[in-house]
Amino acid sequence: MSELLQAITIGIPQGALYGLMGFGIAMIFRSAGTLNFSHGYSAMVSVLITLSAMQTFIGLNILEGRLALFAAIPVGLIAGAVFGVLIDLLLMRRVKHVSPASMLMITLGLLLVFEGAANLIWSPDYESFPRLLPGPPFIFEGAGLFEGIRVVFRRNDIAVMLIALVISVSMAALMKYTKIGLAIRARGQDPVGAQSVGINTNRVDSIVWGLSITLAVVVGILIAPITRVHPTMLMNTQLLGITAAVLGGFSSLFGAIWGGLMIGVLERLIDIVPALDGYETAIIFFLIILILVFKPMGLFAGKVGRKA
Amino acid sequence: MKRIFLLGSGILAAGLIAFLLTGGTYTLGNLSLVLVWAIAGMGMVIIIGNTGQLSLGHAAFMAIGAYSTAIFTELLPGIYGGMLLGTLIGLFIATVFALLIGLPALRLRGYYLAIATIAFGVGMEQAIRAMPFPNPVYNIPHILSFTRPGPIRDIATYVLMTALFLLFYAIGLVILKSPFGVKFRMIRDSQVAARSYGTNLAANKLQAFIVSAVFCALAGSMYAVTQGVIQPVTFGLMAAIDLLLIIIIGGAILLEGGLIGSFIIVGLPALVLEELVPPGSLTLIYGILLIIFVIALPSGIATELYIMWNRKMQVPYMAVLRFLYRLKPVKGSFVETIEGKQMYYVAQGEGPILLYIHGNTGSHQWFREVMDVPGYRTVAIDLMNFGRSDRIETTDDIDTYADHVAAFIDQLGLETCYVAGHSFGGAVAMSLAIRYPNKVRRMLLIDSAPIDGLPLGDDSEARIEALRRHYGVLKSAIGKVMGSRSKDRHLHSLLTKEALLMNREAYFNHALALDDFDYSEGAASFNTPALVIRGVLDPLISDEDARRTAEALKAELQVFDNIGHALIIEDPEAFKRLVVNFDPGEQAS
Amino acid sequence: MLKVSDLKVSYGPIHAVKGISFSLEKGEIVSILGANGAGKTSTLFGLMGIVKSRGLVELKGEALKRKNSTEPTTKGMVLCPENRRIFPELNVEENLRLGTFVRGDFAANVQSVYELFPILRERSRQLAGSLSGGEQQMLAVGRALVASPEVLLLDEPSLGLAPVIVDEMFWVLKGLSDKMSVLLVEQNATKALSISDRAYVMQNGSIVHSGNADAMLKDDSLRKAYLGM
Repeated sequence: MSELLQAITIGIPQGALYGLMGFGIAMIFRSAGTLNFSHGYSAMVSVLITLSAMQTFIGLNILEGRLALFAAIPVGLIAGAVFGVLIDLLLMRRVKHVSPASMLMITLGLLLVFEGAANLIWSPDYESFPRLLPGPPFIFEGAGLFEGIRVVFRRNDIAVMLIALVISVSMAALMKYTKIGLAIRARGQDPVGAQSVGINTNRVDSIVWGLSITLAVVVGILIAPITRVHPTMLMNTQLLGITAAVLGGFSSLFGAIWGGLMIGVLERLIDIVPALDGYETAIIFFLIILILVFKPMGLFAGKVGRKA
Repeated sequence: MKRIFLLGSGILAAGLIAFLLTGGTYTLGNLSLVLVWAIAGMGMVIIIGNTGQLSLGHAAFMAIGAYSTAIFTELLPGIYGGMLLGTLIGLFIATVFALLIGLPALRLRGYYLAIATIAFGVGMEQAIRAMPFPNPVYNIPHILSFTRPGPIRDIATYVLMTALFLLFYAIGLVILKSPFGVKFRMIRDSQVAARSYGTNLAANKLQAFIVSAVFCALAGSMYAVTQGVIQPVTFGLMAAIDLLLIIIIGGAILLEGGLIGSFIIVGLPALVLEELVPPGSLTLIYGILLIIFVIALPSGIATELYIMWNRKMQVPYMAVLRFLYRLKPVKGSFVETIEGKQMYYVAQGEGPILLYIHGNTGSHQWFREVMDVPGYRTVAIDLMNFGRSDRIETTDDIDTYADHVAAFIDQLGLETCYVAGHSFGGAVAMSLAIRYPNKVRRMLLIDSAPIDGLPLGDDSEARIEALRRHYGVLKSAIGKVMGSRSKDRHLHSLLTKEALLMNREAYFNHALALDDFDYSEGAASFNTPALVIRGVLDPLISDEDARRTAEALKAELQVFDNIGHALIIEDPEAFKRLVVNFDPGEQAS
Repeated sequence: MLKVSDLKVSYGPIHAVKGISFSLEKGEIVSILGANGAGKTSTLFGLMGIVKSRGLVELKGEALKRKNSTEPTTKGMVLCPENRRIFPELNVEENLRLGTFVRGDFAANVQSVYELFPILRERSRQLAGSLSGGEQQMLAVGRALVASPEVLLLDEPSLGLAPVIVDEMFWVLKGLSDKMSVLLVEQNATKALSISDRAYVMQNGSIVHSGNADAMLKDDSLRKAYLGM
């Protein structure tokens, strides 16, 4: 029982991160029309930038400790946003009208560029990254009815949950109530229709790219304490983010978040079974194939049938 | 066949150069690796470039091949037994998995297929990682274990890999040129069209998956037995991206793209010695390269080269061929005709003059097999602007050509001739005979342009440009005119080279000249004996045309069965008999 | 109202619109007719800045830059595109509201749209993707109308609709001409000519004929040659 609960308490925060990653990937897919294979990698470089900024602040004695971290975070977020906008402006715009395959190839090229740059400019080494909420984990020990149950809540996970919640709610609000959110949704549903009402779809695309990558940077910063900072730190998360987007069915952005949560928990649950130890990732990936074949619109599909 | 030979010699030559440049056989090891990846690359050319299935998980098949070979070589006593068995089992397992991943592929397209195949690839890597194999697997016996490590082994491995590559290249060529390949490409270009053609889409897609999987599995097996070490990450996401890079940069449609791409992606880094270069810089450069290629050279090097060859390099190519051909020594003579221009001719035999006038893009060589007509002195000319005769101002008027022939006759003091004109030359002959009746005593028209000319078609301009600008097109056109002789490669090649000698500026003018040509009225006063000949299979001149011409010239019409546009090369003996029979006066004397 | 001079639209090596000039006066309904692939949609896209185009486009005397569709729409030229192109996951009212994204007072204009197409008021909370073809077309036109256009561009509004609905649609369109100028692109030449003042015929990217709509309707040889009637 403890194990089950533990799977959930660790799986959900982890899953929230997959979900946020997937949300950004799904947003780019819906709007710009391509799967972004460099999503995690551009975020990873931004995390490296954050780390360097923090180290610079400390090194120049401007700030110390936690303050340096919190001052460095906006730097990383802005870097992510800039990457996103530049990718769309300089590269995607050129091949947007040629074919989706070209866009896909470019994202693969960007994957290599970001990974190579990370190795070159920083290093392949693993560096540590401070947790947002340091301190010992909360341990819950059951009494009475719940005798024998022991669940650990890591502090960082609590930060992750809170931030994920805030972001999800903000994104939802953005999409529903702001003009730009409306423009993003309209462009994603029908680009020509959006242009017909005067929406500048090129500008919307750049904003989508910038926003998505910024979200991925948030994921990177939250996960960095656990994976440590290195060029392939977000590789797995990105793949699982794509999985989350697939589960959610690209047409539903928030479906990606639910999909992510499911994957996070599933990962931990498979871990409990000794025989399957080590096979979690393999199982999840073969699961994707099944879902793509039998439920390509995602697990939550139901509404107006939309071809992604 | 030629391609295989060229490619093979090229690869071996490259090996030789590498050996000489570096003074050792170490680089051959790297080049062998290039060939191994090239085989996998060809698998990608088949599945992505030719069938249009965006599979990004084929590295998994390489893993299957590699691990299968490695494990069985280890397990079984006797190295080669294990190696062979392992490789075969690898191919079998790869086929099974190809079917497994192929089935979902039947329902998925584009991105969804890409995601599914990536999931397959990464999933396979993770699964292998979780299996109880040592990680990494060391000490896999070399495929040439009976040799000792050293220069001989390096060279032998390189030759062996070259042979293996060429074998799979040949297999790939056969498959792609076969109906299978045609169906694959139909699937790539339009699934709707493919379905309506009646193909079993599902079966064909699975076949493509299986073939490409086998290529990759074999490559993986060879990787294991030449490199000696494998680990799951060798065939992971990066390998999948490498495979994609190989065909994007090398070219996805032609099998050669696998080799070119592999050389650039796998060979160059290894040759440049990755350790000497700061980590990450190669990855960065390849990423930038990929982006540049996608934006600027979307079809990859091999295809772009192919396109460039056909679009831009043909004209220079023909110029070079022409230049080299002109250097050949000539056996004929030159005579001045009008305003200092020289006409080239060859002559043979003794007797009354038989004057041969060739057709468009032709020359005296078209008559080379009928120069020996008994009892005559055959004179075969190159019209002005053709062959080795001088160039004159391009003209739309057949009469100009005829005038030069008339001058030629005068210069040689020939008085009156028996004239035989072929095709375009027939029009020249008619112009000559009608306007200079005392120079022509008898006329033979072989598959000649009709008395009222040949009208220009709607697409003439485009077709003529194609002839002018592309050697292959010209060659094929000449082949058609050669009728049943077109299979004679030597003659075909000779006549095509002669065609190169025609004044390039005159192509369209000649078509205009034939369009303008009309002596239906002039023929009224014509009363020289003439014979019009047509081959039944002639694609250019119709039966109607021949009849009309014969009628206008009050000439006889003779039709030859089984002959096309060129009796003079299709059945020289028949032509010679004809020539003699039509000239009874001469026979008598 | 609208003056177009030497408009050119190319997609790479393909010249879809080869330098055409035409005009639209205030209160006129003008049709552009022609077969598939004649370049009609490309012309409209070029006017709106949805695809790159060269040439001069003047709206009420002011030259449009046409870098994207925001400027032409804001200045009063509104497109109702081919194939409806409504937003399937939003409801009818949200779709209409988007029509005023850059121009137009929603509250003030939506009522008159509901008057013209009462079925939209009935279905205002229904998802647009679940409407019938005819209803979606009305929605698309309504979305264009809420922006108070001065020049309304309509791309094949009759496509795929039942004749009865087409009649209803065109009756509405005819009534609009007192408030705005209408440029109507259509394959259904008879219907288009019946409500138009003037018409142009396009073929292979160029204008091959222009004139009075009534005269064109009655000219048999013209109808056979270009309009396939």
